[in-house]
Amino acid sequence: MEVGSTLLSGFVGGLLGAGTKEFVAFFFHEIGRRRAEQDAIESELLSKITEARDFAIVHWSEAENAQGAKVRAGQIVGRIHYCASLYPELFESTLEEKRRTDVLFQDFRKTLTGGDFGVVARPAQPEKTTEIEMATYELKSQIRLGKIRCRKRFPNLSRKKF
Amino acid sequence: MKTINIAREFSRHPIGRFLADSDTSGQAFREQLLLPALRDSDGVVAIILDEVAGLPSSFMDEAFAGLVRYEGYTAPELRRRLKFEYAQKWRETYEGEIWGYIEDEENEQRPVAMAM
Repeated sequence: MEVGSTLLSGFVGGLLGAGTKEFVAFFFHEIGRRRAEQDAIESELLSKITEARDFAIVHWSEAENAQGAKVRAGQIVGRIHYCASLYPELFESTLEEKRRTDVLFQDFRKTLTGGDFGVVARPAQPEKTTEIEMATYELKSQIRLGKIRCRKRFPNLSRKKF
Repeated sequence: MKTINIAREFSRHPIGRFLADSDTSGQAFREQLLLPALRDSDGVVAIILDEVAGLPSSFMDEAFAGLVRYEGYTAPELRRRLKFEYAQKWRETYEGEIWGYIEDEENEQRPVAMAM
């Protein structure tokens, strides 16, 4: 009886030990996978924000009726729209970071596509470059720092498609 | 409740502020779809943002804040009358920006009332 009980407790203990090991391995694997996903989203986001900025600087430096302006306007709007769909994925685990980014993202879109954007009578406004640069760097900085702050919190292991 | 699907009834890629800018400008949207829907009844007008491939800020400002700027609507009234709908949650970014323009215009038009 005593031998059987010892064998059983040893067997159960072994199973629990193996289960715990598997769980810990799975947990760290998922953290790594999620972090790799976040890195990919961040990289894509920063790249498209930079492209939108580059197109916007050229666009605002020329008059709205300049050759190629309509194409550039579409390139700017399209990239901003794509970025709008991406950044919430990065901040899914913290509402605070998401809200901070919302504000800066809207400022970014307003700077690049607000005012006389798309107004045919708009003259060249190269002086807008500084404003575009500022809005871009503020947004990029929030994305980088926001991701770091998110990682200091408990990781969200939900599966997200990117 | 009236419904306006921007992508299906107007354009998937609206651009421009004034009628002179394009057929899919903010002014065109306001005058051709938004105002008639608001004037047609006292009910809620639902604006569907799905399938739109981007909304420039100048379009949003002219289309929606233009209701306060030129048509005499107030921000509280528009809060009661306009409702934005989207299947993809991330499109809430457009709704947030539109309400920002409406509130900013309200503050411009009625600074004393807002201060009280």
